[in-house]
Amino acid sequence: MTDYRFESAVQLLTLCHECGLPISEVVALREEQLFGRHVQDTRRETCRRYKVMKSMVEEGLRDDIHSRSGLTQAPARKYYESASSGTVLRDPVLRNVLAYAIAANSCNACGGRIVASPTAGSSGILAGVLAAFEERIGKKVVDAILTASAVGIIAHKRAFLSGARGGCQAEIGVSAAMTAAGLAEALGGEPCQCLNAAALALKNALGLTCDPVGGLVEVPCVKRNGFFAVHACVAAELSLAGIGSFIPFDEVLDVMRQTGEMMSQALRETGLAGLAKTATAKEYFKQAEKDG
Amino acid sequence: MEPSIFDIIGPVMVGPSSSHTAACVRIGRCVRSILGAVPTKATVHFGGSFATTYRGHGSDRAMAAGLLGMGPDDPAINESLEAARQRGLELQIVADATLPGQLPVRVIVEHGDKRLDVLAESLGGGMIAIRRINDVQVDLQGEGFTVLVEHVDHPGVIAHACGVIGETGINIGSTTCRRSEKGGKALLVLELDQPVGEAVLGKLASLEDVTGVALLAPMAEASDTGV
Ligand code: SF4
Repeated sequence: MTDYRFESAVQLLTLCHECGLPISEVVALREEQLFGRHVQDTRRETCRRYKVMKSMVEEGLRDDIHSRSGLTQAPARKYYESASSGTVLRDPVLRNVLAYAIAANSCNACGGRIVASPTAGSSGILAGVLAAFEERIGKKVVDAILTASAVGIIAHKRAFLSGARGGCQAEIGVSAAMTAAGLAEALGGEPCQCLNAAALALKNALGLTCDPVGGLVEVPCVKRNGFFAVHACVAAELSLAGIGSFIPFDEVLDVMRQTGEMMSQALRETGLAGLAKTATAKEYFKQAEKDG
Repeated sequence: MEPSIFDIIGPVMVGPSSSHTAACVRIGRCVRSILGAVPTKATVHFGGSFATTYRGHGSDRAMAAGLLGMGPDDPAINESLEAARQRGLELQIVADATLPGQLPVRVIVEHGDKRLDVLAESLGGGMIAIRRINDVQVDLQGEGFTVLVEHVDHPGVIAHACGVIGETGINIGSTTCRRSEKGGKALLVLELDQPVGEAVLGKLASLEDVTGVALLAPMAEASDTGV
């Protein structure tokens, strides 16, 4: 009997080759083997979670959405309305990627119901990209999510998935890698192209620190989801065009872990340095306290 | 631990942080299950980056919600501190730099004459581990249905407890037993393939030298109320 567990991208690729299956199917078979969940049930539950992702986008596009702190006030709506034909980005799908990812993460900042992928702070990337591509990839959104989860599983095993342990590279970076791989599969990429897309995405997010203003998950998180959603699309685009990452995904993950371990704790979700300690951030909270 | 697809694409939750909010709801919920009731008093020690960001990340709200029995995706988490006050749960928060681990939380709860002291850790992405229950080291990551049998370290208790489960025909996937010291407090952890009912838990509780029994549901299912 095939053992569908994998610890690395190399092992996952070998499994895909041996079984002649895409990553999404291998990870669904792993789920069945380890947790007794039938492939159909896994797909159904994935679909249900995608619906939550879509509701995040919808919620975040409302013009009255705002966070308790006031730092997030319908940024996606503002962009969506002012850029309806695009100033710099002329491709409507890419504009939607940007708007939807910011919307989805605004929903998180504003106390809405979300699905972490892999974390709440980075939950807008997969949601935003898939909602924007749904028209093009249709039911393959489910395959994309499954493939994304496989990348997250490897990252969890080889490194970590939290800003507190590894800085933002471990949240936004991993999320972008997951999304790039998922999108690559949904657009017809081979398993090696999916993992290559993941490598490209994470490699170019290495070193990202976690320094959110006020210890809230808003600045820089909300807009960072927008930036890295586009980043994930760029990684998938390059990979599907045959551009390889010189450093393979497993090694990039190892570097991410090492970089995270070297990172000062002040830059790992403690709010003790970086953007959190800027004059503007301090001033905002001084003012907020005064205003009660 | 082998993560499931839905540990990575999940939990479905109310934010803003999976490691600082959803994980705390789960830890609180676990503590409540072990205690067997909503505590009247809870002292929560936040370590690691919790110490400086628990307010912004809503970890205090999340802990209150979990202790009240809410799941990570319950919109009522946003108002849980108020709910705790109304339900007579006195919550005290302490920033504590002395706790071991990357993202540790220590929860001390009381209900009647019962007192429970749990050390847990947030592992990222909403996943958690329970590291210590009272004086006994454990490693619970909430994968399956878990029965905890607290007992005095005397011969025969483990056999009797396993016997009670055996009679139900439910398979025990794994067992671990740790004790604080020889003849001291011990904790038997049984991971089951299916849940057991109240009657079985009652039977376990009535065994000689057993001082407490609790059933923990798998984290992912217990939390995502929509599943
Ligand atoms: S900056 Fe920190 S809190 Fe914000 S998304 Fe990145 S890791 Fe999460």
